[in-house]
Amino acid sequence: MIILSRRPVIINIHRVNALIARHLMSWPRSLERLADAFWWPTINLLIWGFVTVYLQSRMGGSTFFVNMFLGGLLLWTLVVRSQEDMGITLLQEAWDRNILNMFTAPLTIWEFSVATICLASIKLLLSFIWMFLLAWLIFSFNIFSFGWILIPFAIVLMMAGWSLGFIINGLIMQFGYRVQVFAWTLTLAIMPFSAVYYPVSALPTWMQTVSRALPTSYIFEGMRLGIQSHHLDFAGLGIAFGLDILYLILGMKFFSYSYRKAQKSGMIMKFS
Amino acid sequence: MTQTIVDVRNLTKTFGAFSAVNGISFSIREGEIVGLLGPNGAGKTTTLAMMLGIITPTSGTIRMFDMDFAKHREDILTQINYSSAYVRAPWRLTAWEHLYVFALMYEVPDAKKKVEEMLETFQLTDIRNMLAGDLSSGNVARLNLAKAFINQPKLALLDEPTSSLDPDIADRVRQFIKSSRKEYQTTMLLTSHNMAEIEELCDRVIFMNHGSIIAEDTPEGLTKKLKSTKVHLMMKDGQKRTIAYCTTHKLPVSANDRFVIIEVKEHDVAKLLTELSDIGAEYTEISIEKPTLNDYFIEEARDH
Repeated sequence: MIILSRRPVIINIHRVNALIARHLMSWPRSLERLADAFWWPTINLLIWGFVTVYLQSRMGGSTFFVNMFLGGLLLWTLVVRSQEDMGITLLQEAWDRNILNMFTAPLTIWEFSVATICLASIKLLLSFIWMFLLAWLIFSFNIFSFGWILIPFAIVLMMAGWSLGFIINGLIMQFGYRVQVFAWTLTLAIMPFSAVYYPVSALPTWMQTVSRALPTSYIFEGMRLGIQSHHLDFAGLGIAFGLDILYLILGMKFFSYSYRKAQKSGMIMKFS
Repeated sequence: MTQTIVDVRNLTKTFGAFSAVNGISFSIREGEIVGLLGPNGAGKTTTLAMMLGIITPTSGTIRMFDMDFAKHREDILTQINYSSAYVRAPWRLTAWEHLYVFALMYEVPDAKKKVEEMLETFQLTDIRNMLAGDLSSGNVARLNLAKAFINQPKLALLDEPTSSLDPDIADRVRQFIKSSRKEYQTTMLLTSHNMAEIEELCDRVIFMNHGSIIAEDTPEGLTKKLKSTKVHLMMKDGQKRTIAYCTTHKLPVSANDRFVIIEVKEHDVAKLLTELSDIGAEYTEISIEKPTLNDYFIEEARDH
């Protein structure tokens, strides 16, 4: 049995809905958040897209690079957006000086977490649809050509993003604005080990060891295997899923611990 | 007999070596309005924060509605609400949306109707569609108060509810606070730096300094603890004799042009005036200034 809290975790759907409504109402009015969701992914897509078109022309028209780079980019977006939106939901409450209103309401940190995961998923879905359409229209790349395997790939990558989101939210709870930069940069720290655009074998030995401990590396390896040989690496998918569960539990425990620590240190008061 | 809504026992909060709250105990009965006073750094905000669960006490217990806060946080927070002059509303939500979110959060029945009601009560109808980021500080304060009463709380914790409000709006808020208590028996614990407001609203005052409760009484009771009354005299004759009399009798005295102000115990005023008459002092005007809660605040803040 996994114990996340000393008391049974009961989620009140009304409070979750309230938090989701609060952020969905303010989201379209925020240029910064719209840029995070659409502008930066578009720029990334265009740059990588044209690089791959160039490489494709030099490699005699092989679609391997287009599939590998654009597939990698679109799937990596799932990690980045899942993680960033979780961190930014908490930071947004702090920046708006609304965090005391939220945490003096009966909202629990688990309801807050469920709401942030839902919000991240809704926003991610919109970002992903936008990027899929652009990649399809401009580069004739269809991510759904990977087939049904895309679904477990997406779930594993989103779960990896949520684990990182819990860690970031925990750090913000404990250390406040000093560590807010991690909300945008933590995924970059694991990106080289995730082997998004190259195989794990291209990494130095010590990096390969780290890479094997990350669920993301199995997905990108699996994606390349699928592109090259149309084979599916079920074992890799299973390991990735297992690692995700482990990191999600550790992330949630860290966030819960950090919240209790913030209550002891008075850090939550300092956000107002 | 009215129910005890809040029961705080030996509440202590330390941050490292610094002690913010030192073993305070108090209780609040249903329908009571209690003022929590004290100079900056007295421990008021930390006490409120512990009552709201955003700071964990180092030791001691908080019981509300006969439940232990540590074990029944959500059950308790559903029945209370909070407003602070230092909290804002999300910049990119309209006044209506902000209230609606909290109506959903507190599971208010018929949420939209209740939001309309609160907008009207706090005279926010005209700005209902304005983004909170564009509101004046006075309007934000009203919006925060509307949020604090959206769930018709049994206990409202109000941190400086009328600061940054115009006098007429502040007066309306005070009338709302009174009517809320009268109609719904709402219990309130409020902090304020406006002593006249505390005197007007509060049944009882808890005075804190350096993390401890140093007095707990009615506003009138606290002012009675101050012994000196100021007697203002506009002198016609015998100003020097009056000052000499005060110096001899060790009464604090100050003079400015023809005015003399003497500090004397309230029950000694009649004796003072008689003796001044005996020494030939004559005055054309007299006013007696009784001590106020403001005087008590200043004296306690200075003494401790």
